[in-house]
Amino acid sequence: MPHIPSANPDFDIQTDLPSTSPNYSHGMERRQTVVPMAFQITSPFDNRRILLPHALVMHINPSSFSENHNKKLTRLQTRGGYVEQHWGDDLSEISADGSTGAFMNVYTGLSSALRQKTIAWDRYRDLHDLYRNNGSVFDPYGNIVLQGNVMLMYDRGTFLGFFESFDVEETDDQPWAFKVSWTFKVQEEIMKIPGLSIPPAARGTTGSIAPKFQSQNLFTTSGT
Amino acid sequence: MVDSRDLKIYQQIEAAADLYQPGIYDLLTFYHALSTEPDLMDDQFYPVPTRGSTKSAKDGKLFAVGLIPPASSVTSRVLDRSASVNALITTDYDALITENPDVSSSSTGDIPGETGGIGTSTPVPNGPTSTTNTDFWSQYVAMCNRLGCQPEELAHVIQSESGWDPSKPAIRNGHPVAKGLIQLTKATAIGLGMTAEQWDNFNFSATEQLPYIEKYFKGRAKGKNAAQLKAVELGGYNNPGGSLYSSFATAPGYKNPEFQRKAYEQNKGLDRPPPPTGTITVEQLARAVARHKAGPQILGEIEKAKSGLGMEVQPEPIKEPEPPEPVSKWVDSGSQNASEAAKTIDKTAKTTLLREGLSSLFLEKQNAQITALRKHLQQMAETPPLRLLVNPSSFKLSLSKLISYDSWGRSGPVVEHWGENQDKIEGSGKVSAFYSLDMLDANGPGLNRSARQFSAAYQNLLSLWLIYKNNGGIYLEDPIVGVPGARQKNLALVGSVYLYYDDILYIGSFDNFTLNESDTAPFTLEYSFSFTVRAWYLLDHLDDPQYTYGKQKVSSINSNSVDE
Repeated sequence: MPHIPSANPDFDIQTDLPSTSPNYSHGMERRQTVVPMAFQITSPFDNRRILLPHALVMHINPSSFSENHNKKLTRLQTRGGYVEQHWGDDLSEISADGSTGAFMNVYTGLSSALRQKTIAWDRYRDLHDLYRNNGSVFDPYGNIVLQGNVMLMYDRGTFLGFFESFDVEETDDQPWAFKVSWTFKVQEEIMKIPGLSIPPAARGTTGSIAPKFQSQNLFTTSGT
Repeated sequence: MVDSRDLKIYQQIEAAADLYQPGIYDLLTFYHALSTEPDLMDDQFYPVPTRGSTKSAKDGKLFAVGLIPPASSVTSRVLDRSASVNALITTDYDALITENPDVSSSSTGDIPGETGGIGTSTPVPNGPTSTTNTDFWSQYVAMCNRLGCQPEELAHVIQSESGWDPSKPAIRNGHPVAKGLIQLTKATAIGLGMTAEQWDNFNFSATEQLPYIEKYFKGRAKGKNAAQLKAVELGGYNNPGGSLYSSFATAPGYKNPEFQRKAYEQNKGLDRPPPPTGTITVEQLARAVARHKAGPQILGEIEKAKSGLGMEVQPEPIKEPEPPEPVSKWVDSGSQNASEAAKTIDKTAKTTLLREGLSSLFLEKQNAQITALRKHLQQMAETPPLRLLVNPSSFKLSLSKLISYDSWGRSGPVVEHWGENQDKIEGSGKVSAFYSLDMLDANGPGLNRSARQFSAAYQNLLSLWLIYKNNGGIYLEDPIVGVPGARQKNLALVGSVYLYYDDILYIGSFDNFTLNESDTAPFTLEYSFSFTVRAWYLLDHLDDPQYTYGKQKVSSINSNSVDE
């Protein structure tokens, strides 16, 4: 049975799906199809544990996707030169924008008036609801009592974080689709790196390859 | 061979900078917000570079990015952060790293230690072998001695892998996926120093394969029996319940569940006896090895070689499992226990903090930090500079003076000169197109978007991104607040990043890094970065002014006396 990574193993897999057939092979297994962007919600107690029965796969991938990584640095000028203070990584930000896809109904075709009865609308609402939830657990009064994470899965890896903004724009030049843009703050990245199945000692470099001047700072003194 | 210490710095950089894969830079340390994992389809695709790897002036100007470890003096107790370059004392880092289990374990996870063992021997016929010459067996035994394992134990593993047939390929879907005595996959073989062409046209004798086998097991074979060596060879995780791979690795405590499931599928033949349990354990490996133990012919050759060399392997004694902790007295109930507990609390409360055990614990923690620090300093020093496959399309150096002239006196402005701001570099560019080859499908995918992470262009960018993430820093687990699973890391030391371009060495650190992808350019990625320069050096690449101004003209009067 092929492994569908977006399924949550905590839930029973529906056996009447085509993907459960022994002869079924998903295009992603050979990288012969598009890479879908997908979302999950993680547990407030364990951000490696997903909560939704199935990942929310975007109806249409964003048309642009931007990652902005920043270092947290402070630089002070002193009479002896500059003092740099390094504090590690700031929260990275992902921003994306795209379209909902055309609002098309099997009965009316492209539709603006009945757009709430289209698949593109439902998927847009799913994303909107995900933004609203944002990994929070609310009490009956609407207060946040626990906070998990939103998990964004793409081919570069997995990003754990939260939505910060979500904009929807409807214009007359695109009557049958919305423009959607959102920003996402990343608290943790789990990146897929080619070559990691090779043991560290066998990854093709030795100390003799690197320029020797890189070792000039290394020295030890005898101590107790 | 020229010692690289005799080379000038620009020559060292130009000789070392190359298109290294991200796996090299993943050996650096990172802030705890970043963790990495292997890609499941790594072995299936081959990255196709869109440029040759030769380096000459015709290939364009070299743009390289590398790392300089922080200046530090690490003694066995004290880290002196103010140290400068005034001594260079070599340290036996190999011995240090061997002692550190963090380095000797497989990158894919922890190998379970001293469990399992060899079951009842079931002799099987030896496969065809060209390993009958005496030289081979002498070298094989000597190699095992260096690895610290018994030659007989490794022989069982090789028997189970290839039946001692040095040219045996493992075929899957009509294509070879692993070759040689220990069945190296292409990616692993390349990682061990073999070229892709050598693996494709696999023509190594058993003797020629020994260096690769030694490199593969180096630091991971000491004192291990056949089942444990098989576990090292297979890789795996230290799952709850002791399994190496699990097809249902979903609960907390299981690392990389997707990879585990894939690995299980690839090795589920080891999940015996029926019915399948969905896991692969060391015990099952032990049974697999026991089913394919090396025959008397192989063992006889080993025995002869050992006696011929007059040596006996003295592996580390295999540790017996420690007896379980005694059952706590707290399991019983009653006033007697309560009374004992009260006495214990009183005793603890009156104990001075300066007792011997506490200082030992402190020193132990401190030594662990120092050991880790040394290891990572050495790792950074050994990390080669990365050559960019395609140079940035824009490179902007911004210099500015720090001058104040806002104050005005009765005779005009008061101009105050405070020196210079730090130089800033901004670079941006595009990676080249994403090309990769599916090794199981000669038709594809070629230029593609969906398998981009297996292209040389993407991997080159990923290497650059990992250098940005490291930024010359050494991140160590917090010894105080760090608890298993918390993944808390602190920035212990900060070194430098260097950019080499135009014969200039810019030393500083990255400030930010941006990646952009758009549907208008699906087969490439745009990136930009900013970098603050702490110091820069014009390297003496052009030694002779004649390269710029031509040969100096000699006056006709002195032409006879001047030797041109």
